[in-house]
Amino acid sequence: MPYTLSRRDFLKTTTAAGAAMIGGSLAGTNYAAAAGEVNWLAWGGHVESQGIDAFYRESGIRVNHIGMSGNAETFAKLKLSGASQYDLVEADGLWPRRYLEDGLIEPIDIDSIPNAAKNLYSQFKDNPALKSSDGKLLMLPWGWNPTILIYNKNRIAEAPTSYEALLDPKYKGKVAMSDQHEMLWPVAAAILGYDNPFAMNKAQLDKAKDVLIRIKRNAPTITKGWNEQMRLFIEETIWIGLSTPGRALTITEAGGPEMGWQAPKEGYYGWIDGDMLMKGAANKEAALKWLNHIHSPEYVATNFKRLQRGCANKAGVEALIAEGKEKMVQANLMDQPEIALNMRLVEAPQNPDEYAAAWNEVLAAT
Amino acid sequence: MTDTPNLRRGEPDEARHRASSRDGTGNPVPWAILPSVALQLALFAAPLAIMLLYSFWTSRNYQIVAEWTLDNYKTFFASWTYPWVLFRTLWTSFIITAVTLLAAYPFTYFIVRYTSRWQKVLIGLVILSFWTSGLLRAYAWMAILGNGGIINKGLQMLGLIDGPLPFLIYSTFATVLVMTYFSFPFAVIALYTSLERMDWTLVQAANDLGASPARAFLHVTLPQTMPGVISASVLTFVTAIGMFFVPLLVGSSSSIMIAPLISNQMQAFQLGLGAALSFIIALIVMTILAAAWRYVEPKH
Repeated sequence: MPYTLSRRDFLKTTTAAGAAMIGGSLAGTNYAAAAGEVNWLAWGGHVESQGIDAFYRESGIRVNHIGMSGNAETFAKLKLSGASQYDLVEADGLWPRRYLEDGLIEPIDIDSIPNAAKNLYSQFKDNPALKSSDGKLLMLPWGWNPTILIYNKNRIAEAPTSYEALLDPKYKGKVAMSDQHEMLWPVAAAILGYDNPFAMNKAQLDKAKDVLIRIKRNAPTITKGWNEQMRLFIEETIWIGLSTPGRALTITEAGGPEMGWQAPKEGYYGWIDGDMLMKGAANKEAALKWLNHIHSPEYVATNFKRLQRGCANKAGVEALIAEGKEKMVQANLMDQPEIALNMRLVEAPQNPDEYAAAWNEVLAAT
Repeated sequence: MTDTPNLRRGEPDEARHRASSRDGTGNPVPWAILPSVALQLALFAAPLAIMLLYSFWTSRNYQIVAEWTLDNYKTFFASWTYPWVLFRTLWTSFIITAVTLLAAYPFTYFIVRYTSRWQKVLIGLVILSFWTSGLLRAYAWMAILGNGGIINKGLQMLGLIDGPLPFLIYSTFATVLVMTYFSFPFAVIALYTSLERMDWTLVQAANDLGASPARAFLHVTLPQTMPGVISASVLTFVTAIGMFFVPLLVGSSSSIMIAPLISNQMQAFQLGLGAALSFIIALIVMTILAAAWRYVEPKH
């Protein structure tokens, strides 16, 4: 006889299943709350899943990573939707000041994070640009790099010494241009001789926009992310562009041409990124424990081996050298933290609406 | 539960349908359409209303401020930048639509007219491309069209070209080609529906009466499949106007389309201007849909 399910049976079964599911999820919630959790809004490049797993096994604290994009977009999102759902958020350069001004973060006492206090290079933990008036850190520094010129040595015999090279007609179609306009305004300002690329007035911004349009006309495309740009360098579609020193080595090691890098005579900007503690973070203690974990030499070495750039953590760099990664360390200036002090740092533009409109005009230009 | 009048066996579907949407008195049942209206409001009208509201508000210093202004619309018309990009987007979308139709119509015609056993399989193969992410497929096209891609490398290995073909990638050609690839399945499905329903005996009759194949196609086949052609055109055109990642990945940096500009506005939190741009495009799309509806709507 075929089995038939009556309406009553169906209701009983679904009710029991629903109750079991709700019970299970509540039990899970209680467990997570008891063990603690951290909501971490961070760039994917900083995340090592094995590190998160190891931290969970060790502390019972679950780290929930939420991916983030650019500085301006993240700041705007937090302003719109509130920051209370996050414990830690990342930023670049002088953006933490902007977060502090808007009451979104609270300074970090580095002594509450022993690994950071012990392992960070002094150039980063004592950097006045990253500190509040009472001497606390606005952001726990993680990676850094200057943005300089990199070039294909097979195609460009003499190292370019100025940003003007990006405008040179002989490189038409061969210039790299990324959509990170935050790094492009300093180039235009340097060429025009303006002091602060993030505080240009309307007339200056118009001229800077024209410079970027000229660079765009030398570029085959506006790249979206490093991987696309690296591919174009490898296949020699592009020969010259803005990037970080270590990436010259990355391109060559990935099968591309021999690459060189040069700091332009106009000076250079750069970035230092890191983690900020949100004001009134619901899971502050767990967040500080997580920051302590990621500043261990093991986590740092794993992360910077995977994604190479300058490193703010001395013990992590020493761990990489101990693994025989001297070439990588040197190429990425990891062992020369003093260079970070020569960089000017990216920051929030003073009139963001005008900067956004100007960038749109750069994109729209033929 | 609604009381439905007893329907006689064999009563036409239309009458059955009419009866089910009315109460015993023959009046329409208003609450029967409530779920549909609620869905429309939540998923279509509400987001559109928010966008409209934002387009008349001010964005300042990473915040949306509820100060009424027409500045966002004025910005659109203040310089040639935005109208020109919009015109370029409409023109490129028109070309994409035309190329898609020229590719999809003969393809679908062949499937419907000359295959029977393999018809469903061939249509299935067209739809298969939906199974993978659009972004992934766009990156695959970059690997095909790029300077170090299959085509350029292949032609260079055969000694047919010395250097990469400059128009293959980062060009309007690449945008049209890749967008045609993306629109092709939509167009095929829309055309298939029309061609499958066609009365082929009319074509036979035209031939018997001495019409040439071209004349029979223009005067018999094409008019009968016009709803499908219009549906395919609308689907392709609307998709092309709003396409964001294809022009960015394979298009020329000197001929950007409007969607990436809107995206840039939104990322920079210029919600007012972004919303105004979106709403202008939405108006254009709705006008196109309204015009197309006249042809798609079956005439009784």
